[in-house]
Amino acid sequence: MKKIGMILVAVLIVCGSLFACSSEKAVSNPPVSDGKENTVNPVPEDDVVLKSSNKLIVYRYPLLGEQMDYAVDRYKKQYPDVEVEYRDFGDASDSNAPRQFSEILRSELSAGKGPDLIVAPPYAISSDFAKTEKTGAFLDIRGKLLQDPEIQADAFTDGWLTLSGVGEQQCFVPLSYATRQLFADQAVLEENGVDITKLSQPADFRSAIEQWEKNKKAGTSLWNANSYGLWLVLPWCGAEAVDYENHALRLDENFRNAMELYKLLYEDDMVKPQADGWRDPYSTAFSGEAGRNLSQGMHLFVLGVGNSTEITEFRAIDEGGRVILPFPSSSEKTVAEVQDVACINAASENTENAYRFLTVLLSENVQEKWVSCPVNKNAMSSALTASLSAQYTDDAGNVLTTPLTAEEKSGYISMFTKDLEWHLPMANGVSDIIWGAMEPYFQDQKTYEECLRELENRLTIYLDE
Amino acid sequence: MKVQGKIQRRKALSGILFVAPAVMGTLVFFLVPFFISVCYSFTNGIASKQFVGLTNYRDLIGNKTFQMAVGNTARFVAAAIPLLNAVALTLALLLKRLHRKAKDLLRSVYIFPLVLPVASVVLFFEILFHESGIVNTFLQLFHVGPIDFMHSEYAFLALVTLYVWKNCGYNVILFAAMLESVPKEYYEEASLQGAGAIAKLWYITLPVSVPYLFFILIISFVNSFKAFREAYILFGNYPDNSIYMVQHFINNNFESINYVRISASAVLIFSVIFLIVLLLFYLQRQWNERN
Repeated sequence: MKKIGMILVAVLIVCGSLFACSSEKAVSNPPVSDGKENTVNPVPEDDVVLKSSNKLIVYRYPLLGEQMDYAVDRYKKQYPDVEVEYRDFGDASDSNAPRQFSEILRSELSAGKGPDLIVAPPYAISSDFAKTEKTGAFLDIRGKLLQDPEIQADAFTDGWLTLSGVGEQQCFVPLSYATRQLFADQAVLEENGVDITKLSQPADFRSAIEQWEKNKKAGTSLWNANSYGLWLVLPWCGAEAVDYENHALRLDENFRNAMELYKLLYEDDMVKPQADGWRDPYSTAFSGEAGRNLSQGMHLFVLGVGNSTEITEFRAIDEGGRVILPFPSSSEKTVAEVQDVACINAASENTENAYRFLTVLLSENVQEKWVSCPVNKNAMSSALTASLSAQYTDDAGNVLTTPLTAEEKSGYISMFTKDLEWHLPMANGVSDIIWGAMEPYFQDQKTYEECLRELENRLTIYLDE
Repeated sequence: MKVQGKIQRRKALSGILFVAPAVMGTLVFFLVPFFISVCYSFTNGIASKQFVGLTNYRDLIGNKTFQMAVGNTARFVAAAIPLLNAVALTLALLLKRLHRKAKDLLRSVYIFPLVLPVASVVLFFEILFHESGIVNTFLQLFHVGPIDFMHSEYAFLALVTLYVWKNCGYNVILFAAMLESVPKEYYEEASLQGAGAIAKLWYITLPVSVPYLFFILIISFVNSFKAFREAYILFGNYPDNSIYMVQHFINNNFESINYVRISASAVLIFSVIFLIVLLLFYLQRQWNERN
């Protein structure tokens, strides 16, 4: 008994001294700030000390193979003295390769190892990237980038480095993003009684869809295949269920609008996929036929993400009939969803080289290689031209290669870069919780309020844990 | 003398060789990772490894979700262990009265839930507790329900039922062995003095079986923390608040690579379990010394 008492006293002394050593500053929870969206945070001090070495370790994310190969090549030419360890995980054609990349990366990060610079989409790095960012796994380099004379802030899309989840810190750098546009044909919209001028507000947009759903003709669909999912609709309305920075839930009117919008699409979304994997019950094909489907009235809209091929197809519609608008968001801004990010591993011994590689990735030449919108505005023009060089074949088999006019190009660039509202992709955990809690509402089994209570409970746990 | 020493040394060496794989396994897969986790729990990140004292523990203890998880886990342990042991002891006592062949058959039947794959067990319980499942169909005969067992506070009831059903067989076997160990003469003597069944259980069986009881209690306690596997498959990683356990908290933080928090919670939970088991051993020793 005496022995146990002695041990307990010793444990208490050790705990007491450890408690005394703990500092308030080291608390991992972020400080609460006043707002989030597009707040221009003050430029922080460049107090990051980078470790110099003659080595760099980078991993090739299979779906960014071409971009990474090019960037590594350029880096090697620029810094010939640095030994680059470039680990390959296979090509995009290998469906297991991205999963393998994620598994290895996560297990290495957990052991304080891994590449010096991580380049991948957020979901490939962690199941909830915003939460992981808070754990101190990556280096805060926002100050470094904004103070770097070689990085011209004007060259980058507005709000590019203000997407912070950790107060004024930013432990990742967006490399590319996507915006979602709705393409439509004016004649088809009018035929269906949809007022083009009333499509920018989510509530009006929902009413238009509601009306279309009531009067839709057989064999027609609202938009192109595979675009009905909640995860495809929710983020583009600008609705975010979780506010990581302020450690709060955002189950507000915007969220309700998004849920009401998806409720209209739920039935179509639940149609079993066909043998080829497409969900759309009405359209047999999409790829390469967006323009034709629009002008023939088979779809009311076509959804395009970033500078994708939908534009090429869309351009085949007769002059004058085209309608383009950003997916209606609550803020009336265009939602820019981060596609690929770069983060410097906080455990890296080669942080200086990692930072140098990051600047190469942000350079115009490398940014041009991105398929979705590059954050470097100067690269947007070339990326857009490359993207729109795809040829469109019409019904008669004629190959249409209408050159992109300067006016057209500037219009598209403006559409992709102006007035953006930045978002990180919704974490799988969050979308799973939303789905689990809200499905009875989509199925008309419970009211919105009933489901919302359940959702609030689960998301509070999710955010707090 | 020399030859004897040599033989003893050889015996010792072979003994060491035999236990070496087990010791190495425990060391490499349990003790070393645990020690690393303890170290991580005092840092602000695996990457930066900056010492922050008890900050992570302070955050963790102040975290409302962690508090809820600990509360639910304690509630589960407090509800499930007495219920499990009461059911198992009753079944073991009934088993004792049966014919040997029936006894052997029932022992095998009781152990079935343990050997069944978790996935099929969970599937069975889904059928049982679904809104249009067997339990609700039965309840509707009495104009009750339907109850949403999976997404309401009733999920706790479903999980306790699952835990008791799954682990009961093992405890029945242990209790049966315990009852067999009590010398028959004690009962005969008690019968001669006119003692009834309850008096025999209270004054003979239980006092004589205290070492067994402690062992069963410790096993049940440790097993109760393994109920997470079933809970996870049945209710997902964000179940109803009533069954959100410490393991949910740890597992979900693992998903977002928050290893510092996982380490702190693992060390904290280990410390509590360790102290409780230590207390049980201490009480057992006190009992043995007193009797």
